[in-house]
Amino acid sequence: MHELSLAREIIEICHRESTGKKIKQLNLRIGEFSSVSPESLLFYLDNISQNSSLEGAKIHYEIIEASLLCDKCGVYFKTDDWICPFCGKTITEYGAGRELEIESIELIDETDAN
Amino acid sequence: MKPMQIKLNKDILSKNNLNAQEVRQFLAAWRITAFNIMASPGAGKTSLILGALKLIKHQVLVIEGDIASSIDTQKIKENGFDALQINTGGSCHLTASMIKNILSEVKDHTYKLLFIENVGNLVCPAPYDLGENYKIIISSVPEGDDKPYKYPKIFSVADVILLNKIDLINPNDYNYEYFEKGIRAVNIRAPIIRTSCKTGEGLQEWVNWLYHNLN
Repeated sequence: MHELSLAREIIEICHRESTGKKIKQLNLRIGEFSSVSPESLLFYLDNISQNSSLEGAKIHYEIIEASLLCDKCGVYFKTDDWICPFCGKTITEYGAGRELEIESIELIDETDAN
Repeated sequence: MKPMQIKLNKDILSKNNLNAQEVRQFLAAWRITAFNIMASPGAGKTSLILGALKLIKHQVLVIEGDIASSIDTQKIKENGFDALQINTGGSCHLTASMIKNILSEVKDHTYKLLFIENVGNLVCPAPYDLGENYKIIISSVPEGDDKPYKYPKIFSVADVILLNKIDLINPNDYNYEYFEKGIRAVNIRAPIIRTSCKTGEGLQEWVNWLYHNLN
């Protein structure tokens, strides 16, 4: 249900960043471990975006898989034992998978309209 | 018409994160260590807080987050401890701005610990930074041993995990090894402490963990 407040944040950010101009497409990045249901987020965005720059926009999202990052090797990897396959170091934190980001917005370029 | 792309790479929770940063700065200036306590409804959050309060030798402030009522705040106060209530209305989690607002009413900065009891929910509170120093997740035996598999995100963010109502454990119904394996699949660093507010088991161990992590 927190997707409703996230949808409100997205609409506010989009409206500000597009300076109120109509958005054609919104591109999101959603981590596997972000605790967000994309379907629920899309439902709310569709239902509360009227009269905002997001109204009618196409919404695209990319799911980011959870993976560990070895700070020594600088490599992302997936493993069940939390050990870097390259250097053997034990990793305790995820490097990816918690993302909840607006990657980009695509505006309709009004100056090119004719 | 040609679309014009604007790269943002902006965190959707950036506003909340800024408020959380402010909360963290206030608390650091007041030398208060904050613990965000999350669990499903009925896991024993308030009982474990009360259990700890009776053992902690420092001054503690409790912030209770609930959709409605001040039942938990009353319970804490009746036991002689300080508590403030946040009612979220319908919202399923606390936010950093709620904590910032309620802390602005606190004039006594001699507290050493702050317990923030989040709204009972294993999903929605997980992505919201409240400005706490540590996240405590409680799971209770009657909820079943499969919770880390069903709600991996919340267990992945935990700094410590309390397995509460351990007095009810029956090896035929609850496989502790299975529970632990589920935790370790998403979180390798958080210690798991078995607790019971009925028998008092593990309460001192939890308080020792709290003491160990004070600023």
